[in-house]
Amino acid sequence: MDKYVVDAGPLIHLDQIGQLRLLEKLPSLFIPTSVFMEIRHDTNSADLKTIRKWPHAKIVAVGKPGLKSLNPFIKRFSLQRGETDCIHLAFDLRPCTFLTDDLAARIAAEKLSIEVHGTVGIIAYAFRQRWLSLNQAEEALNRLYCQSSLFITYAIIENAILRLRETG
Amino acid sequence: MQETMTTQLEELARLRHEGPSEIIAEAVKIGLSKLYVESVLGQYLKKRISRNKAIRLAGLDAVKLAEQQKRIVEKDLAWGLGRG
Repeated sequence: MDKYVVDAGPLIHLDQIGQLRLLEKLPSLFIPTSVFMEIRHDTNSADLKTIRKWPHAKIVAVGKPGLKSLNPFIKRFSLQRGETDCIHLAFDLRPCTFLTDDLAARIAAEKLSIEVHGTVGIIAYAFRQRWLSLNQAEEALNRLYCQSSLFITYAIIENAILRLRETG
Repeated sequence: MQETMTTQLEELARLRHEGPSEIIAEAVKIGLSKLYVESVLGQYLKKRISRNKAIRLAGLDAVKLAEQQKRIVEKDLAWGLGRG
């Protein structure tokens, strides 16, 4: 079964564009407690607070002694607690996919050979799975640029939309 | 959105001890500058201007970030659309 570890970024950005349900559809989703606490404290979103009720989501405490061996490596990237816990968890759950929009966390995870993708990838994946129509996926990408707090250049969004159209 | 902007304007006026018109003038200046950088990066990513010109107009940090984003999103699309 596909396993996913999700950081605060995709949860917040998908919530901001009204597409949090895309993460709910993933077969096995792991959220470190630190990430869950972060989003609970930092957002007013009622939807984000329902994550505990998702059937395939598990909120897990991270801090196994064996994983501490990764700490010296991860420290080099100056990551926050949530990102650090996500990488520990994804490393422990390998093979699994780590979902983040944090550039430093992405680089650190890739160096550990962890598969990493961001919110744009999740929208493209949802389109391929037919959870979103072409119009809905295009709208989600446009909203990601206009309505979410994710910083992304519009030309990149435009290119992503073109790629969806070619596929669809 | 309208309500958010009004609230933000009021909050900014309180925090900065400035009037709404001064804050709006500053916001337009910052917004225009961001739109300009965004437009330059768009031209560069579509290969309509050279990297050197993009760096001159938008700055090295912005160009490097846009290049990194492009690489990342390409990888995400390949995975998401099933070609990765």
